[in-house]
Amino acid sequence: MARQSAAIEAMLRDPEATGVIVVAAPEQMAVTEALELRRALHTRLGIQIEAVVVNRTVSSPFKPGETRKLAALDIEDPAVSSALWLHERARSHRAHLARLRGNLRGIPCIALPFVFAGLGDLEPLGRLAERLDRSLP
Amino acid sequence: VSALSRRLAAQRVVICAGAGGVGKTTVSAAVALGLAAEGRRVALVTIDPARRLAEALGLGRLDNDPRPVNRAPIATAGLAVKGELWAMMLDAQRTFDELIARLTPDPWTREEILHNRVYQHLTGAVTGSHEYAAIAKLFELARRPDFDVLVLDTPPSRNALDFLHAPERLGGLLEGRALRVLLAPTGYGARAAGLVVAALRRITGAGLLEDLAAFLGLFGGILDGLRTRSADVKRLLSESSTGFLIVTSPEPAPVQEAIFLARELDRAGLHRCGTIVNRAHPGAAHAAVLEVVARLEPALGRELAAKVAEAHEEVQRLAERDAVALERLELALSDELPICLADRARDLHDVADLVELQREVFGDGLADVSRVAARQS
Repeated sequence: MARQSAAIEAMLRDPEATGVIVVAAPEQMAVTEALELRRALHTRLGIQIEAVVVNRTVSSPFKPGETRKLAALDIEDPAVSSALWLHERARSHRAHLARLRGNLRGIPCIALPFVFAGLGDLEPLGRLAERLDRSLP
Repeated sequence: VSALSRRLAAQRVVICAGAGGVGKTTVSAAVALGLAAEGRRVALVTIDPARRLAEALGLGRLDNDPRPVNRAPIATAGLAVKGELWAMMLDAQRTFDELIARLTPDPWTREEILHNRVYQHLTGAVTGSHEYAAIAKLFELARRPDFDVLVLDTPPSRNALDFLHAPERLGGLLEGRALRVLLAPTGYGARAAGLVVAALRRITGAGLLEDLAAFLGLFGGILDGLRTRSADVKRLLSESSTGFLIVTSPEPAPVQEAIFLARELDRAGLHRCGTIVNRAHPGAAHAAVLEVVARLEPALGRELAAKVAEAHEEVQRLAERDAVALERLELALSDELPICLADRARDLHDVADLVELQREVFGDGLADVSRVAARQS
């Protein structure tokens, strides 16, 4: 048992054999946990993570001038509310992503887009895979 | 009086449970605030609040005992707190240490246990001590006359049920045959224990073993105390004045977990006092992209109107996804309607945000999401 445990541990600690990718979401708690995990792996086990992948990142299609125009509209329109909500969510995601990147000091951080359609069919999954394939070290 | 106020009126303990990352801590703070506003003396036990929430509650540093939350900023935000709101952040290690201190007969034994390597490992890992500490603290506070109601935010377990089984698991470990044999080695047991110890020595080396032997000797004395405590805690959890408030997001995995949790609570004969769906997306009447473009083009121009229509289309996909999940949840719960809270797109910033969330929680939440669900079913 001791021999086997030692072999497993050696494999996990061998950077040639095992790479660690931390997966997070662009939210406060998830970012904090990703940073804590990275620190704990480093200080307690001597493992340096390869990258952080941030899943479900919403981005906004709107320029600042456009959202100002939307916010200034005096009509109550559900589509306009949706647009402003999306923009606000993207802004919050950007802020959390910035905090993560600022604390990762050089470790690659890849943001994957939120898939609104869900992963019911394979097409969006394929796009996420391509994106990872291009960006991972 | 809102539906939630009614359901919580008779509760002395409200345990917020659910998957991690659904906003459980924030929702428990809003629930505690609402109960305090109604005039009750409330203690909120949080596990690991985000910095902003901690600041909103005035919890500047980790403190293992409830402190009064300043009501001035709450009043400024427009909510009069008729009762009292107290809040604390749980320090699992300290709670467990305090429990051991209370159960040990003398200071010498206490110090020996607290500094023992095996004890440190045991509380850190084996027993799921965060879960146990949360309930131990709850039990301690429930016995104090200072509070009418306790609101507990549960730890982010891999599985929300770990929390429920924590006392049993610790109890089970202590009751376990292996540990008993090692603790009180007599007759055949003594020989068996000797063999086990010899085998362990070969695997782990000598130092740890000496610690283990010392730990078992010291811990034996307080086993009865811990056992009684486990039984008391179990009784507290099953009292009718203890209620479980299930918190979930509308995403499929947390909803699945909420349904599972509700079933497990029912099976264990524990009392459910409500379900809150956090970060739901209100559905609007579905409009085709071209229709939205035509409607908004005069005010926004064609290009921007098209972008807005596309954004709306995506957000509506979320609303539809939520409606499906919510329908599943309503079907599974059958006896109650979940309270839906809107996804606010940004994090909680200050007391005013918390007050607003509290209004939504006690104002029965969003009506739209349920309407969408009703329309689809």
